Amino acid sequence: MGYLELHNIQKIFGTTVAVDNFNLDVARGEFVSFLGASGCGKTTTLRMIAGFETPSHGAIVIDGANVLGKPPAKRKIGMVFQSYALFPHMSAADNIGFGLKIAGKSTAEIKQRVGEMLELIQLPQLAGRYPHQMSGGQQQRVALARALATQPTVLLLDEPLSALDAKIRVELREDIRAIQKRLGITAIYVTHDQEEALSLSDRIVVMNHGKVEQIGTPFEIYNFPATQFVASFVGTANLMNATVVDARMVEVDGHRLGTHNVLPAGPGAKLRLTVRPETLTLADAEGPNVVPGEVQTVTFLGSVVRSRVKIGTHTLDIDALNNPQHVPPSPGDRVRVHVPAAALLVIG
Amino acid sequence: MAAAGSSSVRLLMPSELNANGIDAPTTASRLWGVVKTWLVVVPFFLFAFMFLVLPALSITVGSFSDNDTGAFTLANIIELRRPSIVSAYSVSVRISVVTALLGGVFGFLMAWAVSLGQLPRWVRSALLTFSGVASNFAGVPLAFAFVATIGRLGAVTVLLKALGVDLYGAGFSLYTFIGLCLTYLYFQLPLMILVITPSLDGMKTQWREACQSLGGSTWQFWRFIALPILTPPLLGAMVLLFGNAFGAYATAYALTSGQINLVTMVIGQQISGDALHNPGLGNALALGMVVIMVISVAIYTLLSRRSARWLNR
Amino acid sequence: MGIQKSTRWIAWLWLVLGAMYFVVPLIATAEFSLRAKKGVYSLLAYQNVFAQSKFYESFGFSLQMAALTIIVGMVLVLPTAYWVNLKLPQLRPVIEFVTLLPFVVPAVVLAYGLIKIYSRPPLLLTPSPALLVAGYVALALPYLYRSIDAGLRAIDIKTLTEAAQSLGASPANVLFRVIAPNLRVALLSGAFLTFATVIGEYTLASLLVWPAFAPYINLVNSSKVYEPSALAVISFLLTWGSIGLIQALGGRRSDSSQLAGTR
Repeated sequence: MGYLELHNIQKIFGTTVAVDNFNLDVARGEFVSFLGASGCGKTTTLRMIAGFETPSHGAIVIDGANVLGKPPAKRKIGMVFQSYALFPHMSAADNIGFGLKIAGKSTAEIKQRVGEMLELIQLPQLAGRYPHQMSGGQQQRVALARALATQPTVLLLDEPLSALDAKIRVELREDIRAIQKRLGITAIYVTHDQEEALSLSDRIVVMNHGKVEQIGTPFEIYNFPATQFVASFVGTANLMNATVVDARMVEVDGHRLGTHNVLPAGPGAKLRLTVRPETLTLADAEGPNVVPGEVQTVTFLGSVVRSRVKIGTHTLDIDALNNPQHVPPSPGDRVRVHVPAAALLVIG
Repeated sequence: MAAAGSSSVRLLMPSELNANGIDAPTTASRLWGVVKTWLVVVPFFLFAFMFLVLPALSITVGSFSDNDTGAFTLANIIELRRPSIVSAYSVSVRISVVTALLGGVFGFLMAWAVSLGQLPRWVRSALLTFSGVASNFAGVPLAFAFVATIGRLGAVTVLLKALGVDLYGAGFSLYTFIGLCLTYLYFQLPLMILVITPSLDGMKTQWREACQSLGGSTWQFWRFIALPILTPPLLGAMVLLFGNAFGAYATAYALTSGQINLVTMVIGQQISGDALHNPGLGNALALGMVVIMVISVAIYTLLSRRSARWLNR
Repeated sequence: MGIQKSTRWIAWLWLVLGAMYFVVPLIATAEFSLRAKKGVYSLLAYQNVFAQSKFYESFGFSLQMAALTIIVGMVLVLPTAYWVNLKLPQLRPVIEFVTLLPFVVPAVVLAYGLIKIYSRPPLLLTPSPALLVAGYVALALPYLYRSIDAGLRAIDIKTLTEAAQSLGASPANVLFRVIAPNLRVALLSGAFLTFATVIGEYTLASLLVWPAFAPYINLVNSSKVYEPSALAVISFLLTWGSIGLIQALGGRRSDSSQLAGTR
């Protein structure tokens, strides 16, 4: 039994199915991300947990209690918004203390707690400042402190970093994760940025058009994508059309490739395979799972050198770590690509 | 000029331009350029001066001038303490305050209904369009409309009588303070709606949701968040309504033929017939009105600048 | 989601109450205007109104005044607003002040001041309708300026001007051939608002003693019973028509910039 459970959640707006068949068990203290493109239903699901939307079907259970029917104010949640949503007429300290004030805590207690929160976000000097006097990053930290001050059962974050500059984003996301771990609070994090999801989460829920594509740890999602969508959305994926030859062999554009796992279909069947760019290498000699090709483009990305190689009807991206001793290939070069059996994944 | 092929290139001083065959802007032509730039706006400012500033100035000067000698005097201002004039100011202020408060509160409620109250889009559209029209439907036609409604033989008066409520028998009359207030509301309400709606639109939904997520009830949201944020624009709008009512002439005249004692009525009577037999006093009266309007506009501007910071991000 | 049912009921309540307050007088006036013939509803009052030559004279007069006001107003405001936006942004606060003046100097006081200055030689203007037009333009100034200014700020006049100049256009050409056509909505909004204002304006017209439409309506009140309400209905339809046209043109702004007119 999880701390936060979503059972068969479905949300329909008019005739559009925004979220369908959403099932999730979140353990206490776990950090789960909802990852997907705009409109995939991730924010809608988050808002259903918060209570701002009501599911058309299904149940939401927090800490053993069914929360359906409970207004947001009674759910003991903490919410961080993309636009910070700090109350503009209140100082940072007043913003942070607001939830406690609502709960009727004493002034002394509020003051102490606000002080603790300001220490937690490392901005004690901002206590008396107003939102318009703070940068975006500072405002979001204060918003986080405000959400955590009341010690909620679940922390909900709706694309909290999307409105911030790239550099601040990286800083702040590490701080968010550190604070979450330190407090041991269960967190649901909505984002369209896969780097955020991969670096922060204990588990990721990848969503597409209202449906859950895959739930897993970042390692699983990246290395063993269950569907074509997950393979393409998270990281770069090379997609290949293959025909099954036997239990562990496929044919791609006339070349035979061995696979590590048993194939799920019989000889002659058509399959869709994916392989990550960093698993492919340029080989020197012939051998099993080595196919010839021609280099189309080479892009120097700094730490990575990406070569695009045409093999038959397919174009594969090959990523190699930059090595100053090793000159990258040039467009037009004839090369050999090694496709490791273990790296080939069936996704459809 | 740098010789062709030479490797040194030097910027020419302005004084060297002519010698090198380049047309330099002379001081005279530069000056003319500046004049031309400013010439375009001269008609506008000349007009504003002649037909807005000058009248206002003239009134100001006239207020402090002795009627016969033209010397500086405060006598006109002091004369404003005439009971009839004090009474006129009092009535004008009262009617303006009452309609500003009533129009402000009910206008706010209606504006709230179509913005935060989330009534359908078409209702909001209709209300805003109608407000745009109704706020211009003042003066003579408005007065007649109310006569037809709650005048002695008005439709509502007759209807209420049929239901057993005798308005005029009970002492009510359209041609009094209360009647005028009711009539003024017809353009005060729409003005409020038009002025306050942008501020209401500026209330972010996330503030409401953040408050809810922190455990706040609707009442607590309004008490700690919404009303504090909305108070400056609300007050500002009501001050605007005050000024609007204070300067109203046509409606009051059409309804009461100048019989109700308002500052605008007295000024009007002064224009049409030198009722005060004292041009200096007339000036002082007009000046008093301008002063009150200036204060209203100043307060409104200050308050709206304050609220813009919170509601327009 | 987002709002409770009970809140929505309250919202509807206020709206309906307000709507009743607005609509009832209109219905009462219309109803009253139809009662000219005893016992039946008829358009007799309207027929009487349209039979009066004075109706056409006064309406025609106000129409002319409106046209003149619009023309003079546009000629004054358009180049100025264009120039301030393009070259003289530092004048903006001064302009703001000028557009605030008509609020601070209400029609009654303006009439007083205008008569004071312009009723004696050498500046004898009171016998001329030009003074009335000047007064109307002064009153309409804030709305005209704001409307046109908003329109200018919505289009990139700097780039348009530079493009036109690079093609050889003189400043006048730029303004009338390039900028103005892009301001169609703002110009028409300003025009219709001015029209509605002038047609309905009573204070200046009556105090400066001109046979305009609104004073005519007031005059009719002293002699007729049903005709004034018929005129009120006509007046309302005219105002509604003008403002409605503005809204239809897309001048849908919920602020006080669409307020003009006599009170």
